[in-house]
Amino acid sequence: MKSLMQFNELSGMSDHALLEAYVNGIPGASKILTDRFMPKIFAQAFHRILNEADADDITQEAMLRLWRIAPNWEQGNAKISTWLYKIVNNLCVDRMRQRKTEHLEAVSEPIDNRQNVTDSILNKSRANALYSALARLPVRQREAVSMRHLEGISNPEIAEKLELSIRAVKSLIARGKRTLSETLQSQKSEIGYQND
Amino acid sequence: MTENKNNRGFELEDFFAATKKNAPVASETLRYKILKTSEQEFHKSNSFILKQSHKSWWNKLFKEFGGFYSVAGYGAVAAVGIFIGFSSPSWSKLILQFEKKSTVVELEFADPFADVTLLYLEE
Repeated sequence: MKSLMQFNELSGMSDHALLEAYVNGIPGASKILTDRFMPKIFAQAFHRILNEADADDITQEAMLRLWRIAPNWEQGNAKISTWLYKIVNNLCVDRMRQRKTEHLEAVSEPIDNRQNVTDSILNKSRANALYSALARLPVRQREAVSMRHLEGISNPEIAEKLELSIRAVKSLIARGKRTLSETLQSQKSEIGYQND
Repeated sequence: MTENKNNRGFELEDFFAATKKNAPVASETLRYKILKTSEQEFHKSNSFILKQSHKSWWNKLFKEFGGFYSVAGYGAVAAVGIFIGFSSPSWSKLILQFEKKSTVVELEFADPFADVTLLYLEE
């Protein structure tokens, strides 16, 4: 009962407070931090490098760096999520430099077993087409669109991470989506749309 | 109108949805690994803090005085000060004797032409 209360208390704490709790050895703090950040980091890494194993490694490395910096983390520093975003971005760039492999070859197999085969193939071909079109966008546009529509990050948060105004982020996303639409329109028949 | 209808069939959102559906999610194994490293790092940093606190009093003092060279300098000065303070008076006599011995010999140079000028005067 006591541990449940403590867990509920911890769940309501800010990221900074949780990190401090982790440093002070309060049980459960690292679990909540992991649950808060791991899915986001993994999604960010996966959509950048399109490889599940690499996304796993990068997520683990980024979290390890968080645990290591925790005792020296200062309140005045950037938000933990922003700091982690930069770390993951750098790790992705390093990994891509290392591998230099074709992104599309590395797209993972679908994991939803409930999908029927046709849906699954269609989804995969659409995902591949989108990744391919995303890869052709300028870096900033790609990051903004990916964060907004694949990782589900809000515009103010994207603005903070990319160090831009919200207006600039909206403009980046709009331009990115327009280019994506144009690129994908030209591949309609290949990705399950009928040419009328 | 027909184009609009066709475009409505081609929604970018479908692609985003398909991509999200197709993307893997972080596994439980990964979560377990992350939590394990969090424990390891916590113990590492804790043992480091403990070690630091054990040697902290003299370490801090050492740093307060400005490190090794500074402390060595202070030590040397202190040693000389103690020596001067506690040395017997005979030592100071010795020093005085040394000073007397080493008096500077002042040489007076005679003017080699002094007599010559006298000779001219006598003439």
